[in-house]
Amino acid sequence: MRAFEFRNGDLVFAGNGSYSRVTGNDKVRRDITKLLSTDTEFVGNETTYDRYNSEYGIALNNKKVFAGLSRSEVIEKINAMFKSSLEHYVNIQKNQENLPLDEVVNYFDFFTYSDPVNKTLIRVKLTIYMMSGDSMEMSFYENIF
Amino acid sequence: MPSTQDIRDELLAQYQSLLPTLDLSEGTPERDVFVEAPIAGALRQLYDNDDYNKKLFAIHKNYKDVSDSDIEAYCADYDVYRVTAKYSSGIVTFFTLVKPNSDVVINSGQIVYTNSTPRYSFKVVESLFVAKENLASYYNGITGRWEFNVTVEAVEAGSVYVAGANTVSEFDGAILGIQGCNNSSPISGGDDPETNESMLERVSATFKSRGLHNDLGIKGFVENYSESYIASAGDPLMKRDNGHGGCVDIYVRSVELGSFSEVVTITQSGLSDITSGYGLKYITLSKPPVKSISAVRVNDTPLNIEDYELQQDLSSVVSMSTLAKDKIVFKNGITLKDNDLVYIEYIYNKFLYDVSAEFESQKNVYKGRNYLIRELSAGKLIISATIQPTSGSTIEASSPTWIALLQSYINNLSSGSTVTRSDIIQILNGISTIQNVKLDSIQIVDVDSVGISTDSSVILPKNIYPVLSNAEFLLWENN
Repeated sequence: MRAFEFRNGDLVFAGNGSYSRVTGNDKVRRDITKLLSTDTEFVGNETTYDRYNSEYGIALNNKKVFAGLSRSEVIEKINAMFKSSLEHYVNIQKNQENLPLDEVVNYFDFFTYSDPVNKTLIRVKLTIYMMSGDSMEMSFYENIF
Repeated sequence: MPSTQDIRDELLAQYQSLLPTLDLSEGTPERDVFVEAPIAGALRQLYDNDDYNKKLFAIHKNYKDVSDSDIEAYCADYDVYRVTAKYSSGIVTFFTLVKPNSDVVINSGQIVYTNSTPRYSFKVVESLFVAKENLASYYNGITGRWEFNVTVEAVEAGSVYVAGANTVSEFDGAILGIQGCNNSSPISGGDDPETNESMLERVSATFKSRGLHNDLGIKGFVENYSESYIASAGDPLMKRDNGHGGCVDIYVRSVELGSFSEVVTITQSGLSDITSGYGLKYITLSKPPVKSISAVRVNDTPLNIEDYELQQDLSSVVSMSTLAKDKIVFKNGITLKDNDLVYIEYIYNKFLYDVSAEFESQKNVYKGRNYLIRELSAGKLIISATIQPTSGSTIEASSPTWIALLQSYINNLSSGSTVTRSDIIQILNGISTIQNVKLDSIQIVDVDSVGISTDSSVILPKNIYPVLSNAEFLLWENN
């Protein structure tokens, strides 16, 4: 599918003056980055207008859900959030027609762990396997404690 | 009007037809930038504004969805303005049984309270200063008290803030030389702000007449200030024109009390001239309708209250108007004589003069007519009912609330209304602390017999509005 390249929230111009585009694995990487940097709607994060995709994104910023949890419970919670968020993305893809195989997620795997140096960070290592047979890795971290 | 989803679907369809390969699926930046941002930032508001503007074009039909300020702006184009909430006003008498040793000062803003529940507050409108040497003119030999009448108005505006006669008995703080206070007459006249419906009805009336050349036009103008009734040629209430027409009586409901003092110099020729406005035993007051006389001095000698009385003009063709012949009548052998200088201080309905000045200042007022501003008068009603309170409620505890609800209904009815038994039943049945109402027990008593009473209703004349004087409840022991 046609998609524009975004960087730091802005469209990117190509050298010829047109908008720069992304396709294939890069598009999926862009979409996953967008997905995991968007808050779902939760109490304290209500949108002011009729938001059409209140379930899209992840609720990592809803720090209340981590209150009083042990480190292992926090990791479990984040695992559940990632799983739910990525499954939502996969469902969106299932509703689209004519996606090229290198833009379709076959399955994903991820590993969540505490940063060995900075104990306030939780890190997630995500591996995405595409229908084309390609795979790519992405890393995320979140300051929870 | 399209819903947000309708707008979204329309935009998506347009983009899909122009750019079929553009990914506008959920959550993509393209979707956010090209579809959702325009909806949230402008389109939704534009559609809402468009819908609102359409309602403004049919404001009489859609007034419930239009803001108060837009309704006011629309009405102003027809010279119709919202009648603001009115404050009840009345007279409170501060008294003492012991002659004060110094001047008596009752400051404006002094608060007095009702002894009822809920407790309503009223404030003194104008300060009263009585020098020690003038105290004698405030002595009432009948009650044995020194009495000082002041005008008060409710602290809060609205029809609820009223006080029945003899219910105001407390005041804030201490006043030097004063032992207590009381109101021998009700404090009333408070009204809620005019509703949007009422304003729009008045706009409709202006379509029939906008000028002041007929009753409707006059009514439309005067009702910017108060509920009114216009009696002109052919109206049974018009008694001044002897059937020839040309006179217009403008009855207004609002009351705004003010104090006024005048000095009358008595001359021998005046005493024998019936047009002078005074005689040996009376003086016609120049600011009718007068509500009470506060103090009188003849040649600087104060008169006691029992030496004079107010004689209100309640029956002439100009009664209760700015031309009423309200008089102070002297008693106990007091007679006026040549060169007497009579000082009279009294409380009158200032509102009639304010409306009169506003009316006469209108450029298009028809000069050939004889206009007279006069008071609509109150028709006091007493309601009695046999009631079965709900479990846990008692008549003693709940009746003040029931009375307040009945007052809220009856006191808001306009002049010329009919108060029916079925209205009363409907109100009582709607009260949560009332289990049952004995239908044939409802009685509506027209205290002063000013209306037409039937078994089930009281029909009031066009120049009289209903006021609930009291309500009495008996327990229905439904065995």
